[in-house]
Amino acid sequence: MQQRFNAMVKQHQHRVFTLAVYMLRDRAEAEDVTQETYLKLWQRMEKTQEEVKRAWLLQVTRNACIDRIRKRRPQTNEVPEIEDHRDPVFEMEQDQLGKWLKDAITNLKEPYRSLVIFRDVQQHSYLEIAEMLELSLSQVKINLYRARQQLRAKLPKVETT
Amino acid sequence: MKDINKDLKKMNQQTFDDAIEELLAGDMDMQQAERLKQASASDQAMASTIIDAWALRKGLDELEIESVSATLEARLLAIPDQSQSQTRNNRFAWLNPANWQTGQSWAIGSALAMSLIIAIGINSQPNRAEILQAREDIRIALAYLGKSLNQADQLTRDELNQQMHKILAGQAPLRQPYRDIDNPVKIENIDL
Repeated sequence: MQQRFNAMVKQHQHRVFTLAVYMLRDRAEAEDVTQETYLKLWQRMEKTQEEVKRAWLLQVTRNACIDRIRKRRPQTNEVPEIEDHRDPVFEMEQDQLGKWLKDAITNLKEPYRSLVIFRDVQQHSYLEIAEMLELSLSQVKINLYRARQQLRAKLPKVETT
Repeated sequence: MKDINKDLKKMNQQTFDDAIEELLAGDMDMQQAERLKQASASDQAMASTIIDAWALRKGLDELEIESVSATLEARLLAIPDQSQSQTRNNRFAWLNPANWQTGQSWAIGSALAMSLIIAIGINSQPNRAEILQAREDIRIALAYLGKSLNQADQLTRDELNQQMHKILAGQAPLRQPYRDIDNPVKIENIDL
């Protein structure tokens, strides 16, 4: 059982951690959530011989992140606005665009945020995402479309003259 | 080329939006890309939209998976060992008199005392003084048991009062979410 657990750690730890980092934008908190998730996995493995799927791990991580974000709310009444960049998007440095995008993704509402992370960052299939978020395939596609539209709308405009 | 120009004339807002969506989703083929390129040459607004979408797609493609630090990995791999040693400690915690402060351990301690008294009684022929002593021990054990039950009762009441107070003061939700580790709660469409 411990070997199976260790294999799950090696195989999925980066995905679990990435999801938490993108959702929380705080590495220390993301580490805590990753640890909590794997502790739950271990407790589940002790109770049942059933194969634990990757989808379950990410689902638990997502719920833990959402819980933490909810608890944060009283301290920060509003979601911080994304820093405004003067440069049009194609003039941004790559790391600047990456940072901007991470902030923009974090500020998306649920389930848009999770959808973009699962699809565009972690490259999961539509089917896997549907299973993780308990949505239909068409809901996944429609919501992803809306999520990307929102990202596009927030993107600094290109000035064409 | 002639066909492409013909396509361009046909390209209405809807097909253009669809094409942009495909570009954003990373599903665009070369032919569609060529059509978009042609479209951008003749219309500045279109060109701007295409560059936006392309930049966003490129940015999304280059977002990295975050790596777990060696320390965190070590902590994750240590979970089984830590969890097992914790279970072992919990199993014998009731033997430690320091833990007898809580109601449950009071009861366990008292029950242990009673069983010891009974065992002594069975294995030997007690004299009158021993019988009196045993009665006194049982009385004390029962008193502990009663005290522990009262304590547990008081703790429950205090906890309930605190919760009710928080709910009435609006500091806690009326309904606490039920959490089941084996079946994680589905949360969607919430405004965070």
